[in-house]
Amino acid sequence: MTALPNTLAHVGRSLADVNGHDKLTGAARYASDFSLAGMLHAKILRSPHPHARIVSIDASKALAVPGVVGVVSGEDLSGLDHTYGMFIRDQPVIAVDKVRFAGEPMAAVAAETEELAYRAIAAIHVEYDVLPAISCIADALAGNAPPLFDGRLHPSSLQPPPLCSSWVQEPAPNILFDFSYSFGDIEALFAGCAHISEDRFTLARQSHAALEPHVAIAFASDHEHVEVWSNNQDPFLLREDIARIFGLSAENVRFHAGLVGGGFGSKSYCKIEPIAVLLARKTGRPVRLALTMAESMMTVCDHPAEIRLRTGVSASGETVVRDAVVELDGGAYADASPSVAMRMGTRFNGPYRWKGVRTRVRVIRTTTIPAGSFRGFGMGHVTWACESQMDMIAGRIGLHPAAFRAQNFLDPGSSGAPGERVLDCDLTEGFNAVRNRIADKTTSANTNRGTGFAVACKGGGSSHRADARIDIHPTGDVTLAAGVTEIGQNTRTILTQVAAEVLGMDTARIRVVNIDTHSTPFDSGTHASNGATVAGLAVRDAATKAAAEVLLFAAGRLQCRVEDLSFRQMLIVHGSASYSLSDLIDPTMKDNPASFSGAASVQTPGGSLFWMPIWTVAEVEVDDETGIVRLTRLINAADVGRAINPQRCISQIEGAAAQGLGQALFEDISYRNGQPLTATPLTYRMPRLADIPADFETIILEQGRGPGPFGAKGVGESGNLTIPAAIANAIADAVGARVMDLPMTPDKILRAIRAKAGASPSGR
Amino acid sequence: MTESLRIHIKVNGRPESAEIAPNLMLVDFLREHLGLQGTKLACDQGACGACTVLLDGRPVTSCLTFAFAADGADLQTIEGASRDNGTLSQVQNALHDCGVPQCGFCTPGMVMMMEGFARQDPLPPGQTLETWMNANLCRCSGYQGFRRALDQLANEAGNP
Repeated sequence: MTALPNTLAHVGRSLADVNGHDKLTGAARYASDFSLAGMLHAKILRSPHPHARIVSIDASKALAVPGVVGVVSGEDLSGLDHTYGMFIRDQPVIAVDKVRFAGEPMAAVAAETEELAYRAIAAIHVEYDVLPAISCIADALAGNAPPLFDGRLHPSSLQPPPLCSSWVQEPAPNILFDFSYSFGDIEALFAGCAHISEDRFTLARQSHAALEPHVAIAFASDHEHVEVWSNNQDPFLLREDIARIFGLSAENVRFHAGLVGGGFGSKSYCKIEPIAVLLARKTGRPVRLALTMAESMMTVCDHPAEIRLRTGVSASGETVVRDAVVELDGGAYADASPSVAMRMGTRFNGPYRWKGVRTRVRVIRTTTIPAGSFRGFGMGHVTWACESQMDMIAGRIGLHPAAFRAQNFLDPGSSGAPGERVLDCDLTEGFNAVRNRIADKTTSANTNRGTGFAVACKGGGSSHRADARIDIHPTGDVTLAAGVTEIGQNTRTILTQVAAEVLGMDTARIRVVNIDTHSTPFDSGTHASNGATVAGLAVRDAATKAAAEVLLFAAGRLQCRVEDLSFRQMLIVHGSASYSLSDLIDPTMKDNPASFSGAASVQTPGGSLFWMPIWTVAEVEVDDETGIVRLTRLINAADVGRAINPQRCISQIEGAAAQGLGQALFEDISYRNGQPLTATPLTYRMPRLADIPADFETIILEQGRGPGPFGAKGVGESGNLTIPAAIANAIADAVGARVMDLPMTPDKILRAIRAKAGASPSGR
Repeated sequence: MTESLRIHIKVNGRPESAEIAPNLMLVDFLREHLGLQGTKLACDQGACGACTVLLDGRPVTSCLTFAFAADGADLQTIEGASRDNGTLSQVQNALHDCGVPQCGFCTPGMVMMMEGFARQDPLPPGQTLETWMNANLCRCSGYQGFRRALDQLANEAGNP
């Protein structure tokens, strides 16, 4: 770690997770552990067909199962504002008239036990009029593809496009969103380039596969009120969705959130919660809808994609102009796809200087799992294509890939595109941090061993509002309330350290409370690596205000000026005297406060609040007879501005890197005949301990330019971005074969090796 | 399923007896009948190890184990992993020191897998705790915290 000098007491220390003891002893409680008296259990009947008209649903036999209390289907949505989606609301709570992917909810049952609910869904008879499946982008764009929707525009809450860009919503029946972005005179710039590279890359369907499946427990005490306990990342956004769908006042919708067993984007935005609410309102009883992990994998995934890059460079190897054409497979419904398309579409410049960049990102509808937000929000897609192509270009023009990158990095304080936030990190320093740690291939005796670099820079913290409240109790204990959810990023620990630093107190006396939308300060959602930075600022300000409240009260009691007092270690210091809070509570007075409160709200502007750079070098060994790749070494460096908790920063980057490793080498929910083949935890291959290289290093840089508390910036979404391209580049370095389709399974690597052997060498 | 059967199990040293359905899974018996919610149900297919408990000292995935199969057995769950005085066990301490818990959902299963290995006497030939831990998935981490904890445990074993 390259650390800033640290004179702080709590910030910069690797405090253990504040809930760590409970997690280690089994005492930690998650939404899936929650129950209510009289609670019913729900299961969902899912469509076996990828695309079909619903002719009829007969639930009479299900209702006849003893112990079954309620059944809901598309009919129960009449009169409700029954669709949802982050920007384009096209996804029905339960299928109405049509199903658009295998696994789509058709009906749901609430019964006295989960076993009875399972029996009941098996007794529901549905008659389908089966339609052709559209399993991939090419099928969807074929002239004879059946339309998924009838062509009308869905209700939307799209904002005006960002600078240099434009969008069209639902331009054609199977195209959800068409986003364009451009700066510079693109064709004139290409005309002036000495080298132009055109390459095509694809990505597979990655699953979040968080260990805790989606769960929602809903109770409607009457027709006007709803209370929900769920593991959604966005309790405040969900409150709005539920209120809108069911025509309720948002004040009458109450969401609770505690510890969440992993998210990675899968628990963002509206998911299963309306089904639980629908059943709770129908039955009048609390209803628990707990998905299996396989069902969670059918609920949302990341976008398969096809990316075509045309990139022009000068004779001396300057990056000049890039044209990117992207098709994202958005699956059957919008979810967060328009937002992903917009974020991705403005970021094809990556960490380099360009005179012009043009991008078109289209989100294509297919009869597959709806794709939504996934750690990195499209930046992994961009990085896979662009960082693979950087090495290919370097090979074609005879430059070392590291030197080619280094000569084109954006300078600190410069802006990569019109209107874009200036770079708040030093790309060269970070790159050297990893570059200096690994030898070039020429020094290796093993001819099938190679190294590869990749660099990415993702924006974070945009358009976010985070509120926080600090209550200092006369006992000296502090309650910290903030609306950011704890999904494994250890935000509660980070916020505790920030509050302890401001208040000059012991972290053990700070308690972070669970989220209750009736009382917890607002937060616009746990996204975009904003927790430590944006909620961190709100906590810092709230703690400052709470301490000021203490001093104001103490000045009154001590009959002195506020300026003469200071507050450290829960003591009010006045000259040589010091007082505890309880010393100042005079039982004979009526104005004793119950606690000293400070509240704060932070709203960030649109566009990136900070940059999360990541520099990666991977070393692989390739068996050219089997195509098996062994990752022997992986080094990541990241700038975190200031590490509030170095260990938590490292854990985030390591964990993200493991997800990137899975994406690189094996993760894929593939489809055949409209059916997902690997959408179960048993068939979906995820990284295990043995997949992690023994030599796996994470370097934390504190470049000191973060906008968060004490100079911090977010770190949650960087570590995965570069891994696939770094591995592809290392494979190319090792055996001269280039794989351009994820995941890089042995068959694809063998094919690439054979293609190289059969063709004349043309670059790496 | 109308029939039921009675089982007797020692859970964390405490005798339990219950009338159960023959299709009841061990994880549901623990979580719902005994209220021991520390054992987590994640993949429900024996693929992730979050529900790992020790059946007569041997780690099993309780999501794939029938409750009746534990009849007469000595069962250890995460609730029994700490020392009798409530402090963390050596395994838990190592995980704590190495900053392991992130979301924490895999943690109880990981702890039990490691506790299970620690109780193997004699050690299975050619097997290491690292190979055993391939049975357990963690989606938050890059497993480095677990590796550091394994190193710490090995050091402690070498320097008692």
